[in-house]
Amino acid sequence: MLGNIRLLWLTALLVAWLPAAPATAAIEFFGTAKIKPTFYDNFDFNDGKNDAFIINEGGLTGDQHIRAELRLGWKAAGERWSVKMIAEADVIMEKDSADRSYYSGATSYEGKPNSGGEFGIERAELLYRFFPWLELETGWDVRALDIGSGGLLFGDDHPFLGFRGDLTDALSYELLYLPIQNRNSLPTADDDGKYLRSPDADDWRVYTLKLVQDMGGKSAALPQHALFGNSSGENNILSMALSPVYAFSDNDSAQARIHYFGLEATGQAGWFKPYFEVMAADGEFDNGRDISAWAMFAGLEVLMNKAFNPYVAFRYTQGDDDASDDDVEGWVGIGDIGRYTPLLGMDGNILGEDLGQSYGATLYSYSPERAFRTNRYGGIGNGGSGDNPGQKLIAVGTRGDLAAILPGLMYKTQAFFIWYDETANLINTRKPGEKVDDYAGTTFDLQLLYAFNKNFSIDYIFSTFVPGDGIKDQFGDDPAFVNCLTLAWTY
Amino acid sequence: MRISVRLVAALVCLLCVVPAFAASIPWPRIDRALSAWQGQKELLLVTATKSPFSTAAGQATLEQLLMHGFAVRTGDQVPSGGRGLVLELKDNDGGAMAFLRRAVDGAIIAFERHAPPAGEAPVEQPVAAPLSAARPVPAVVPSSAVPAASRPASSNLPGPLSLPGRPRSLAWLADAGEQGLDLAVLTDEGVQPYRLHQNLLQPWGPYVHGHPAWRALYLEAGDPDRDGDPELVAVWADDTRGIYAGTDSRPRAVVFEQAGRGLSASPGPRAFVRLQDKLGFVQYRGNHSLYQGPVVALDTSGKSWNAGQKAVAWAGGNLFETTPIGQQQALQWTADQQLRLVSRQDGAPLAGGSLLYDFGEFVGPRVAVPLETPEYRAGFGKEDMVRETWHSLPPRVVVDADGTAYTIRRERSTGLPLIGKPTGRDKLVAVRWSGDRFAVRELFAGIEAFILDFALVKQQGKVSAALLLLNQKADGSGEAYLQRVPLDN
Repeated sequence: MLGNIRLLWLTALLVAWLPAAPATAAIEFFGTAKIKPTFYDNFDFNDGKNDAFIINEGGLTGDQHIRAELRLGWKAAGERWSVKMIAEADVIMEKDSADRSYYSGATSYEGKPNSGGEFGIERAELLYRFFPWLELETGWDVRALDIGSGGLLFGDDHPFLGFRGDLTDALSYELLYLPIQNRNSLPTADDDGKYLRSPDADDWRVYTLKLVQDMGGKSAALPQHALFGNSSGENNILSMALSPVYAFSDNDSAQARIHYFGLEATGQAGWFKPYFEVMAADGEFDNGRDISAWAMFAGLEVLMNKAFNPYVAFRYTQGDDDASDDDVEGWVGIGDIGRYTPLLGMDGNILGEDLGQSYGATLYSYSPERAFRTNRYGGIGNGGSGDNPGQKLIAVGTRGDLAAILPGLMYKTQAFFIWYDETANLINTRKPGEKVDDYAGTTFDLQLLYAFNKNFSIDYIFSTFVPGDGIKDQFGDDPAFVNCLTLAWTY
Repeated sequence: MRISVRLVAALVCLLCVVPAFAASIPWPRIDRALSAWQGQKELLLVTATKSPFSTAAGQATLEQLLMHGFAVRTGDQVPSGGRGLVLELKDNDGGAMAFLRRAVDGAIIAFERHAPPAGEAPVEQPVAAPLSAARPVPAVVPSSAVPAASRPASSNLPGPLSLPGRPRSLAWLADAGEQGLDLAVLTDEGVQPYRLHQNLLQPWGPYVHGHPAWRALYLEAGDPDRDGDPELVAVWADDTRGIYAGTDSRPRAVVFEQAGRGLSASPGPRAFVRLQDKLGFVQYRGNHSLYQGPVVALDTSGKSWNAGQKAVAWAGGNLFETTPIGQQQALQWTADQQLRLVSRQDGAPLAGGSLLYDFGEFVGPRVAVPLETPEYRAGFGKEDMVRETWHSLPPRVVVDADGTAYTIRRERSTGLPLIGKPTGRDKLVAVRWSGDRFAVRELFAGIEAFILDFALVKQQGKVSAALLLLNQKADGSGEAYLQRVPLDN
């Protein structure tokens, strides 16, 4: 009773105070709720064996499961500042994760405490703009260096502290410090007299700088005007953004230091949308092994019409030709983000899922950075091997709006033809002693999305990886599949 | 307990009966004075009409007087001995008024005024005084500068007439004389012409474009090819949506000519088009902007109408932001949805041309423009990103030959989401620049519906009426109505 009275007083005081509180910021709430019934099948390319576990954002899983990604975000903003936070629960749906209750023992099979799906801060972005050319940014939110083209180098929601701004009307920059790992090895009583690693022995810090130069031109120079005229006035655009990129990966955890540098170019020339990037890695392990690799991406999309916009692309990551030498030549980015790139990306296709147990491309990554396990120096979880076989990928695809059939219906479909760049480090289990074939296999993706309205949509992805001789030589003959349905509420 | 129930029931009955009784009395304040009158129960009723009891209101007043035991006379005969009362009823733009006087000395002992009902009377609006001398000086409009207009009683207004479908815009086509008038409404599916004759709305053969993803934006009427026959230009948004690309609304214009009891269609520019009497104007949409390039003249010389090459003076604004008034001046919407008068050549504000008048927050048809760099709002996923900006087109502004501009004042609000009810009245207003000051006139007291669009009807070159496209919901998704409002300029 006493508690109720206090609550009433507290409520009354709050109500009395609220109207007097100054409105200092505009606040918006937003969020998404995605339920994803999914079936992973045969990620080891072998019908006769059970798949190993597969990692996705909900945790460790496999086979059939339903993932729930539930987000609530809010953003407060003033004239110069903003604070955005997004709380999230991302779980594989089951009684334990939903109820947050384990009825036997205090921990899960992963050793986690009885917590289930915590609603934690998944993303935070804190900004203050001192001048147009100087904006302070920190938190942990989406940051990327080349997500507008091939996503070979970096894109993730790692923590960051940095600055960005517009230096001129056509030139902007972003300077970031990313403490990806900061795991101190603090001594305990049991460590007395033992050898202790240095406090930063398991750290991984990355420093990045990206410049974006707008190279917009006059659309009258477009060849399509000369060839066809442009009475419609549509796609009447000639734009190009050139972005030099530099990153330094101070990877104590992998005992390696790597300089990355490269160039990204995106834009549009009338009906054509080109995407290009080239990246190089140059560094060294503490043990003296030399890191030297490069990667590139080039794509071209033709904006034909509403329903048909075909594209072709080529993606290359260098492979290592000899794991036993001191040259580490397999490309490993800071975090390959191919899954979310504009041209080849698909949120749930098989190459963007965790194929670490076979082909070696992990979650989000398209390149086979975990196909080998030595000389690791980056990638998601810092697990990418510098001795990986690399990749040559040719993609063809198309996407569009099928409103002519059914308003609200959209699609994207694509096929990837994938070769290894180098196969010397791979082991042929089908024909022991022989070299693994270059052709890894073919993937096919089809995604259909129907938007019932702006707040609710359903999409379905059918995606398969049909093994080529390269995969067959190592794992098996059977295709792998993803069937994924996404029920998405956006508000 | 039983007594309590009876008592409550009696109170409830009393509470119900008293307001009902009070509501039946046409002049409550006068009624109190009549009750208090201790003198001779004779009353002279003075009205402007010769037969005041021919209307329901007059009969109610008579009943009220007789109920108090008064012998009622009409005409100009003073009550005998000058010891009775005189009730004078007047009806003008300010509403109905009643003056109760003592016959003996003419002293007013009671007065009552009734505001005019919706749709009846114009409301004069002063314009706010300037805030800063450094800015263009907005003029203060004296009451005398606002021409009074006599409005018909609401009972004379035809309609509102229910409109099928979800019309988003309308246009007046032609005056059909005794047969009524011809108009057309725009829906997502096409254009539906009608003939309006008194309270009958007769549809003609509709035009259906056959594109499932087209969404109605607006309808324009004019005679830009100067052939003497009115043309319509309908503009739809062709929404292209991508799984990873967001929505891209591209304008699609179709030109219509009246052909007998139907419309003949021909393709127009893939751009925004506005008609102003015998002129047409075009502006393209940009890839990542609502407008791209200058406003150009509509070229009607070819088989199909296209955007011309030559830019026209448009006050530096975009197609809908600016409305020319003659060759030198233009009305321009400001960012906070106010109108100002600017030079048509360079967009410079003209002295005294700031109109500090709240037109409300009108949300017109929306156009989606993809962002060049999508914003990662909640994450990497397609649902987590902001990939387009939705722009709302401003309310229609029509300029008559005499320079008077007509537009919508949005005073109706949607109320709280889900639980709220719309409140307030939308209005049609006329804005006139008299050389050194603005005059704003609300053409009627407002209507309890959202005015989505309007068209002016002309007879013998003069604006005679407005056609209002009404909807129960601000986004046009509710029941739609057509309301004809006679205007007397």
